[in-house]
Amino acid sequence: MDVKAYIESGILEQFALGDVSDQERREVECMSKIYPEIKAAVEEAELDLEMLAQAGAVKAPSSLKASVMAELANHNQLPADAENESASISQEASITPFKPTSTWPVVWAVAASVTLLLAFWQFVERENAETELAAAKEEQEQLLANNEYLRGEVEFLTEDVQDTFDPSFQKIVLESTKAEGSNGVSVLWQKESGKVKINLASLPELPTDKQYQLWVLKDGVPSDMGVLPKDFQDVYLADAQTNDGDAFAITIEPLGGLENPTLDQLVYLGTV
Amino acid sequence: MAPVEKEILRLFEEGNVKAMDLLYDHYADALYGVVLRMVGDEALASDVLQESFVKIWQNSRSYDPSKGRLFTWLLRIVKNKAIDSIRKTGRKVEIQSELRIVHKNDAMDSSDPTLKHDLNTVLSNLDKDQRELIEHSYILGYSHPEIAEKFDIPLGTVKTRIRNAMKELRSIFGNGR
Repeated sequence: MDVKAYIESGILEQFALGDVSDQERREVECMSKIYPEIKAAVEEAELDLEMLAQAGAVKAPSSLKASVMAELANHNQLPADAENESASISQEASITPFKPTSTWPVVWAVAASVTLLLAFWQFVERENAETELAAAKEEQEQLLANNEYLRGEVEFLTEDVQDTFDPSFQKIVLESTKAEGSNGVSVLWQKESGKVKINLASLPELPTDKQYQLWVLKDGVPSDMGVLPKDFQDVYLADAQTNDGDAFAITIEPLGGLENPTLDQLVYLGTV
Repeated sequence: MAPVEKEILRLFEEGNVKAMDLLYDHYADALYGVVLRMVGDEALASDVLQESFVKIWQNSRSYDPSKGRLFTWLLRIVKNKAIDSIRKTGRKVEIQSELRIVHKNDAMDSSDPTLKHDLNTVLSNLDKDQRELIEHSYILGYSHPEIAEKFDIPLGTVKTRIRNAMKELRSIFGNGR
């Protein structure tokens, strides 16, 4: 995983703007749990967003606040999606007070020490329990997040497998134009919906400043289908859709892609 | 997390509607600015903001700070409401050479670092292409695909150019942060 390329792709700014697909959102959320650099870059992007919005603040009409607050009185807060865990530990070190009796000073003293000792022991135990509970909660949250991510991945994989067998998807093999005999790249195309899926696992790695870009050709005229992510080794749904075309092609372009393909960098081509 | 955000979260937890009072005082103008530039009409912008605040309140218990800043979450709700309203009425504003910005000037907390720059001054440091991209995505609320279509540039290029423009802006913000 090329963390730097991932950050430089601009996906995190798009994520902060709330402008990404569910797949990308899950990916960013998961990545930022794994890589501290990505988490920091997300935070920075969010801070930028807030700063720009504050810099562009416009005084709202003065009557608006009263009307908003009045409207809110008619609505209830909904319960959270996540269950409210009442994980607070309410146990208290119970120190039993007792009355000194002049007739039993020794017993009294012993009892007092024992009780104190007991209270201290309870206190230490409770501290330990709290630390353990916090660690367990954190671990549980991480597992839940992983679980959610994996469930999403399984959904995508299932969909990919179903599409492979779906007769409305046609498979087009793009042959390498450079290396004779090397493996081609498979594209699945559903003409009616315009969806194009491509298996990125078979593309050779590129230098950090280069990126693959997918094109659809119609009567020899290329249209941009989007750049292919560098950090993704899986079946990828192309950014753009197309209902028409007689060939698909892949070129190697500078990071971010170009408006028109660089023809001598055409590396894969396949006709429909 | 700023103290005011902590307090708002605490009040959310409690189900105390005072949270919304505080939220309004801190974020309403920033959010109103975004909505106004998206829908282009003051009465409509007020409606959108009011509906958004109802939605924010109703969903306040499901806000999860581990998934992002409070403002990011608020803005997402507000933008979605504004987009709903644009779908019904159509986008009204085209960007003008000078953005129509009315500054908040009174009773402003001067310790708030986010208000040290005014938008025009900040954006004027960018070249025209970069400025246009930032204005469309961050100020006018265009999505990346909408920008790609409008300027006829690939989506990947939109992403990297916006990232680069933000990096440029950060170097300007830098001393203000």
